Amino acid sequence: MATLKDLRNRIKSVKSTQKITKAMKMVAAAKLRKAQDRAEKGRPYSEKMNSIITNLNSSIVDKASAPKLLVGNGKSQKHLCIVMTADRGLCGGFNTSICRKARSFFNEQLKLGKELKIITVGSKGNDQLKRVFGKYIVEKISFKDLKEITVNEADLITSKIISMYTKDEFDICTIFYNKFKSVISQIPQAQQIIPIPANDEERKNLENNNDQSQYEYEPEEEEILENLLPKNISTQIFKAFLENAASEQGSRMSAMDNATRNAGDLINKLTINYNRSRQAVITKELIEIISGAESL
Amino acid sequence: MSDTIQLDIVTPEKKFFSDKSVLSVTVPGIEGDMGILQNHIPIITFLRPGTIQVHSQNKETYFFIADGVLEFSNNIVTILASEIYDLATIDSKMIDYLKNKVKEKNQKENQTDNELFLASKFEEEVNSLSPAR
Repeated sequence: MATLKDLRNRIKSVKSTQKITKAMKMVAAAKLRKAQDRAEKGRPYSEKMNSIITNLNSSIVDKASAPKLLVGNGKSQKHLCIVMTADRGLCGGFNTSICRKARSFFNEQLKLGKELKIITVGSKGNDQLKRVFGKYIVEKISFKDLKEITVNEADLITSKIISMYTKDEFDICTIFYNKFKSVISQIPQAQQIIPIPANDEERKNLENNNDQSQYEYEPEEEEILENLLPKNISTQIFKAFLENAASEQGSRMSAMDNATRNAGDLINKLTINYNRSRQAVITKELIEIISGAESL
Repeated sequence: MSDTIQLDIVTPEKKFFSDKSVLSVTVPGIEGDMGILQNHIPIITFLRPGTIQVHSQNKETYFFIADGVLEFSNNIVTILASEIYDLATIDSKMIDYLKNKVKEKNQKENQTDNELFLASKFEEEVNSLSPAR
């Protein structure tokens, strides 16, 4: 049985762990509010952008001359996957769930005999993927030192993607990130950004109210698209960043909340144990004294 | 009341401006300035750097926009802007920041004609700005 001193030490160490997890929870809660705000405020922009692109997409009749970024280059051999994770751990299943989603996608594509290229954004994803898929990782990007991700970082990644695309290094590009739903629920997403997936339902909707969506374009459709598409990619990546940031904090908050609660339970158990053994020692001593006195 | 339009300006970070009863909007389109009143035909256009003028019932608001896209349909104007500033709050610090941006844009290599055009326009517009306060 553990001695009293051992128990005391364990209680002490669990208590200090609890303090840390509690503090982390508070910090995550404060950051979450900000990140959630940003994510929600950023949604209208990306939604609008998407609707404009879909509008344009449906108005282009001649698919052959349409920009490659929109309709793709007709092949689907080489896949580029951008796995966006956090730079820090201790946030529950946040990083793992993205990686799991990505990994199953990778395995599927490899089974089909496709070529795979991976860009990891955020160091944790790289850590998790490099053991099995290390040879496919072409680039790792991390913004660990930055306090806040802005559009500039999204632009940086976008220009990398586009230069790779013009060099014909991949045919299809997919990004992986966590969509923020609520503090306890984040959904890992795989979103294809090049080419833009044809959404049949939306197209049908557009055709139904066609008279409304007959837009005048200035300049021509093609020219607008050419300029808008890189912007759209950048917007989607930025959105992924924002969603990820909110999800990370939410996930960390609930993970730390759990940890704090577990630590509390553990402390209770240990304290009971401690008191019991203390009582046992006292009883033992009393018995010794009494039996000593009796034998006199 | 009925001859108003709705104006939404959104940036990647937030909804920058929203007003349900705007009389008219004058924007710097890429092929020339244009004013939008009620029942304008649906249009999608690029914007060049310049000033947006918003006429409301009893006031006028001015914004400086770096670049953006405008969509108009069903009497709703949506402007997607990457960078936009309220001219009434612009100060000398902001202008310095924008001037730095101009330098950055000019130093970029391999620019397309369109980008070059926008960069030069941007420079012109930034140089014409003056602090409001």
